[in-house]
Amino acid sequence: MGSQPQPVTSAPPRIFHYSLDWRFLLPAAEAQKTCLLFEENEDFRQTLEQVRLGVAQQISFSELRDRKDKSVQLLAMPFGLPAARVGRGQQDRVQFYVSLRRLIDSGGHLLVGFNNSLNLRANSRSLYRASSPRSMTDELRQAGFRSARIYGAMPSLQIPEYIFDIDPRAIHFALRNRFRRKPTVLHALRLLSGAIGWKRISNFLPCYFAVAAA
Amino acid sequence: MKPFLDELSDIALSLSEGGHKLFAPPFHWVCLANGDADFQDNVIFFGFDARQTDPVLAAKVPRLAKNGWMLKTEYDHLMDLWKCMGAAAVNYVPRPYGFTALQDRSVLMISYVPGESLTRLSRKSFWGDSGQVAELAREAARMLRDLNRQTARPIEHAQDTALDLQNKAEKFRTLFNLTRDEDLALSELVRNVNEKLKTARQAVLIQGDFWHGNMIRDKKRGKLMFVDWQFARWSVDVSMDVYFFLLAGALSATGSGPVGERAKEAFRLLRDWRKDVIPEYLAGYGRPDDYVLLPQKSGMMLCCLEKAVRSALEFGYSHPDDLLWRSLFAELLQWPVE
Repeated sequence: MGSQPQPVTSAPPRIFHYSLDWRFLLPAAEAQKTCLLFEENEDFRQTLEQVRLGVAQQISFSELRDRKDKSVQLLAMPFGLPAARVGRGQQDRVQFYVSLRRLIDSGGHLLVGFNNSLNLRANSRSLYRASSPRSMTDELRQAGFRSARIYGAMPSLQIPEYIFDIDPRAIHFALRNRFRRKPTVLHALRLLSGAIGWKRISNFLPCYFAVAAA
Repeated sequence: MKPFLDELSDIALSLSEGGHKLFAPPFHWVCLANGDADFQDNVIFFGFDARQTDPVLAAKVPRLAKNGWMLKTEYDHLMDLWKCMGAAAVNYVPRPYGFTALQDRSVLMISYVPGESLTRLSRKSFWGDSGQVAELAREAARMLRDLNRQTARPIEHAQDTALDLQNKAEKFRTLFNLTRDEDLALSELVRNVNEKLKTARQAVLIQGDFWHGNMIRDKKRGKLMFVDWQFARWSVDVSMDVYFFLLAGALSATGSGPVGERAKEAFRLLRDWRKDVIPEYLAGYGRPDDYVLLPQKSGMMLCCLEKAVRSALEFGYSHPDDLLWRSLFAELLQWPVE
């Protein structure tokens, strides 16, 4: 055949590796007032550039404590609290959320992704702190956020194919439906739901997003 | 400003018919990233109201705001279908509830189609079994023909297909280095198709992406339903829909090897299907009198041409599958002329 395609533009966005659909859990906001926090990750940064996501600010974690201005409307930490920068104790985490809240304008929102602390295998490899829906809600409230809402996500924070309200029908729907790669843990959850019910299964989801209002 | 999902719930809860609200609060949502869909695609939100165990609607939102045109196309053409078919449309396609803008993004709300997507059909045990493929093909062909019959209308509503085809051919030449034989075949294809199009007296609404991944086996009736009308258009030529089903099926039977190998494998399978699957499928569709169904070779090559350039023309970037379609185009040069 002897031909090669001549790309119209650069390679397609690498959304396959890092889905950004958690954006829909938040209100729209101006790019200048949106901020993303994540551990240095070349792939994720490249994805953001390729999709031209309207994010003007990427504050490094080390810069965080020095900032005082309430200039941010949306602050997203899609992969969660960096284990290297936040201590293990609950008060360490609460203090960290307090420092984030100081940056967020009144009426703004914080999004935090987190792996389930029961998911020991995934957490042993993660650069970020795991948690549970209850702990996360408590800590965000202690940090002064007005409300905190939890969403389930599957199969992972890197590729959250499904993001859903913690509602038995929504969980059932997400677990029943197709995945490109259905991890064993989701098969197990589906089986387990028969024994403990759809409501309690929400504690065993692989990961979550918390959305807190400042 | 409220979170996006809260505003989505407000819109869903405002939908009414005959003075009655369609859905009851509270609303819960499942956001589907659509598996391996790329960034030019839509996110789908399945909405649950207070009364039903299954979702009651699906809301589609483009990942990139600039791609709202896709959903407008889908909405307009679902409206066209419902206008042409009346209440019978419920047996074929989702019902369009509304098209609106929310936080600077387009949102299309349609009814939820309960059932299994045929995307799950197994590569080996289904697509490798010509008996099962023929059965599905006959059913898909009959239903497609039903849809086409019910939307057929005088030709003035069709787009300028000749110019459209010329643009696609030019883009194909720009994107890929064609051999001399391929270039000649492309010119001949454009010439033949344009000649054929002159004979048409009617246009029909074609789906534009008629493959098994856009079919759902309805949970209650067991019938096929057709979703994803974002590439639908009025056309005097139904070949894109008719042959795309066969090509996409054959490609689904191939593995994840190099593009050239996959194209060869799909071509071999299509050749095998000439014995039974293709004749039964085309018989199931029938021969239209007033609009065009191209012969197998040119119809399949036309499909490959359109698929190979679609990402470039519609979204301005190269999709990894473009080369696969271009390779299958090359293989089809060997297809016998009926």
